[in-house]
Amino acid sequence: MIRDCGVVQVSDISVGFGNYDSLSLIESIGDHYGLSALILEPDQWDKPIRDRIRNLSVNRIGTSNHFRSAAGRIEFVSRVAAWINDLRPQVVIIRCSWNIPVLLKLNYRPSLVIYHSTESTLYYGNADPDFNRLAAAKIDVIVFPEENRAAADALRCGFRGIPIAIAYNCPVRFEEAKKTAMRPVRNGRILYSGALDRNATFVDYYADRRLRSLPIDIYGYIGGSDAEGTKNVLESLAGGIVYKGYVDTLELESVRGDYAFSITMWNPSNENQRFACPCKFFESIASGVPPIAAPHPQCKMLIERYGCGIVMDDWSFKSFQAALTEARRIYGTPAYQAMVDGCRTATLEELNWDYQFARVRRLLPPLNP
Amino acid sequence: MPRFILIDHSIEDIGGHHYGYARYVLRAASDLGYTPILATNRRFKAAADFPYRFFPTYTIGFWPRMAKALPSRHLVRWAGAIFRAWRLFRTRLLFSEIGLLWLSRGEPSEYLRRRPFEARPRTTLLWIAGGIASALRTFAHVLWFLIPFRAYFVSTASSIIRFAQQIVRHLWDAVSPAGSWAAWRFARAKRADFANSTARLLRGVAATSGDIVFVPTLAEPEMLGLLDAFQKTPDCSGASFHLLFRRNLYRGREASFAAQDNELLPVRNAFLSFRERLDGQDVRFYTDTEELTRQYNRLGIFPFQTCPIPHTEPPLDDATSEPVRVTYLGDARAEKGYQYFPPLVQNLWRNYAVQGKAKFVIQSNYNVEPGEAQAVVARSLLQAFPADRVELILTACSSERYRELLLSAGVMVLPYDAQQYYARSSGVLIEALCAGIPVVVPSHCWLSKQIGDPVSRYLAGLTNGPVAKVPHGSEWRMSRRTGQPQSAILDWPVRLSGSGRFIETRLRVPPGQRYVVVRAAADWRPGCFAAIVCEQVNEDGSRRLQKEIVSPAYEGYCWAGAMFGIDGAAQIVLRLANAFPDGPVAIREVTLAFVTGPGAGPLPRSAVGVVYREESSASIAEAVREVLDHYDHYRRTAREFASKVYHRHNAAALVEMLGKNVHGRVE
Repeated sequence: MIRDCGVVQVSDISVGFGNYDSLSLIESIGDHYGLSALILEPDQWDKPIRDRIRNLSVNRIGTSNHFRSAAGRIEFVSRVAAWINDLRPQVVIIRCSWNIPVLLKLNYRPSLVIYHSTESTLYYGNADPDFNRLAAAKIDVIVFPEENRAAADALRCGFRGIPIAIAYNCPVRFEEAKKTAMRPVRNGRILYSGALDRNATFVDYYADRRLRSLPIDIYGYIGGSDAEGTKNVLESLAGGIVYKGYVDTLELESVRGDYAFSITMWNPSNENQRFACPCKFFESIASGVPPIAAPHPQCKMLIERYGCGIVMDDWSFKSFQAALTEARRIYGTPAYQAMVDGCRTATLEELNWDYQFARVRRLLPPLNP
Repeated sequence: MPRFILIDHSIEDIGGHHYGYARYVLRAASDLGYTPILATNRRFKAAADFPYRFFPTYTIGFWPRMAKALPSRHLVRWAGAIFRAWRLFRTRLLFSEIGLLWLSRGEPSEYLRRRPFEARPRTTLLWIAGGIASALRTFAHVLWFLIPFRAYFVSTASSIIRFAQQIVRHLWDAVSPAGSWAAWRFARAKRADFANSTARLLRGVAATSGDIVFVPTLAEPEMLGLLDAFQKTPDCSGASFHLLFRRNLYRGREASFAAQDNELLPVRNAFLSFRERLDGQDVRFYTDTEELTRQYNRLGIFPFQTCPIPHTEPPLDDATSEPVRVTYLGDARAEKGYQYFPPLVQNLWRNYAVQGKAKFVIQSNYNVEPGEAQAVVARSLLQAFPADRVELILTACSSERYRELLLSAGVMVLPYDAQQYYARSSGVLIEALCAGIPVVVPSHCWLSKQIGDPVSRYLAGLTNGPVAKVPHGSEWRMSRRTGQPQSAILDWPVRLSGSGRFIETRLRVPPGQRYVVVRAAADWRPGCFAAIVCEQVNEDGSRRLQKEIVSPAYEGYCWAGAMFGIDGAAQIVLRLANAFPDGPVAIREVTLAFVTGPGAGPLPRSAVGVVYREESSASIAEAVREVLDHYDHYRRTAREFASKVYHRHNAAALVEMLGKNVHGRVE
């Protein structure tokens, strides 16, 4: 059993299978203070148990209810709080609002509490902003991945007096990005990878007859509020559009660079999705695959800044079709190469973890011995 | 010697906008032969060398934050603390075994089934208690159904609860500092304080005929307070009173004003009351923009005039420095577009900041702590940039420091909310223009109108040179919607009315031409802006759209114009419309000219400053880039324009205007 660690991160997912931003954060914090780091993660059955990832220890916390249920949350929070009270690490990192009640159950004050607010506080229900308000006094630094979410939550949860850093969800380290070669030969296809949910990610668009001539590969986990409906839609795909199932992150990473473009589009029906800042958007750019993105503010801003992709006019099917048609038109032209070059520039200049962590580092105080 | 008495009850110290404004006006008044007197808030402590008489008279300032704290604040604080403690207790309870039991109250056995080894014995006692409670709850349900006249009891109970909730809501509204009772009380207290303090002041200085009393910051409470002061000091009310209203009455643009009239009845009634109770006193009314004057004149009670903005200085000798200082002055607020600066800096980082061509100087203090949420986030992002390239001013500036920052600016960026500043003035803009500093401003608001004339003249000048002019008239067609059948325009002027209507022409670009200048003369009424769209059709058939919303210039003949880069395009499609089609507009004439530009270099697309069309960091960055890329041109044209702006906006012009309007001296 782990008895000695200086940094503990409370994760809301089983780590190491995507969402690398959290790993990058704890790793950087551990390096910054020269402390060993431990991640306490919930038990996601479909994710294999690992004791170590990179240089980080991982401990999986079981719950008798599903980890995403209300009862599972209570259990997880209670057990994690007991762990932390026992270990008494100097630095505690809380990942997202789901875990924020942990702070209310600690019986000591860690030297530094970092709140990595990866989702909008409303994402987990209307009670969460209140949990955040109650915990605000126990937080030293807040890291948000998106500016608009940060502003909304700062106002809603009384965070305006707490130092805030914005660190985008781009986990690729600068050195790693420098070494990554953009693949010169692509398969000419468009990639969608991520959540598949009729209500959240416009899955119905892909089944529209007008898109059948377009070459699109879809990867992802079928879930959300209408899983059966989503499954039916995916089964009805025809023409050049293919659903390739849910694959391991590593497998996805190995093929991503072969694609010509990738798609980022969430239904802007709630704050979390309107101000989307998905890891896959940044991973795509890091792989030199220009994204075709709906006008989520952060995606739009970055694509316009670096000319590294295509921004849809809005979330309508018409705009989606127009953007895909435009992508197909420019593929193989100098304009496409300029987008690929834009991806590289973006990654080396700004969209790498070292650049993002610098925004956090300046807020980190020296720890009391 | 007549006295010039400036009343600003919001002046608390020798810094900030209110004090700066008063200083300029009083100096001009002194130069023009008046004896200057300043009346301020009681908290004001002048420096030893303050050159004028001053009366720290007023207790309550203009802004609600200057109100005296309500005694009920203690009650609010205690209530808040108790409520917070309750919420904390409840949340801790929820995230405990008790919370878990509570969630499984419908199926207690499930709790034990799922936790065969984890549940501790003492928890099982709780589980038993929970089971008993659950059974009792079910039994209560049974009892409930045995009660006769249940509906009667339910409706009585819910009425009592509603009544109690209403009482609590009203009580809260009454004691909360943000409640409507506090706002009502503030307005009345402000009126009373303004009345008493002004009466004391007028008696103290023995104001008399020939004296000018100028109130540059006020609203209805102060105006009615002045009326009360007249009644308290009938001997002193022979002076001439000049009231300057600088806040907008209406939201949005002219077309929506009629719908807001009903909401403004309290304001109208205040003015009516003032008019009824005036007893021969000489009172004059002003705003500082034409748009605000139109709004207040819409009330139809007193005639309002537009007065100059006084806190300006004549342009100094040109002293540009490298790197060019891209500057923002004013506090960090969303209304002033502060949140656009982090992405703006990032957009210009590689090609301008890193290369030493530009440095950012951004005033970043909050007007009220802890700051607006958007500003807090934006400031946090800006603080992450190296301080030698992004200089943040984190505290309010003294007048001297402010002036220093203004004069050292290379480009003044004012990314203000165009809706909020549709009619309101910006002192910073006028100060920058007077100092000959190029500006970047949003379209379709008061700010862009201030540079409408020089931009129009610049575009007209471009079409006078060796250009390929296109005869107007026959090529233009009118349409309702893009892609719909069009009708040829046979007679000019063309009247556009109704949403979606525009005129359009399609032209082949002559070889070698890199820009097209479009100018349209029309009866652009107040609130009208031109939307000019240029769609480029490349040789490969692809299209690219550029859109401009431009303020018409008022040079006798009302022109609106824009210039588009069309390098590489085979054809262009130009569309012209009223940007906000809430009224008809008659387009009299359109001129088009293809322009090559001198040499191989790009041509500036504007003069004095650049108007950006879309409230986004990319659009603002594009505008700043345009200024930086043609800095000498913008600096030169801004300096040429500066004396014209200063001639209109200076303190002497303001004092002279007030002086001319004194009763019996109206010219």
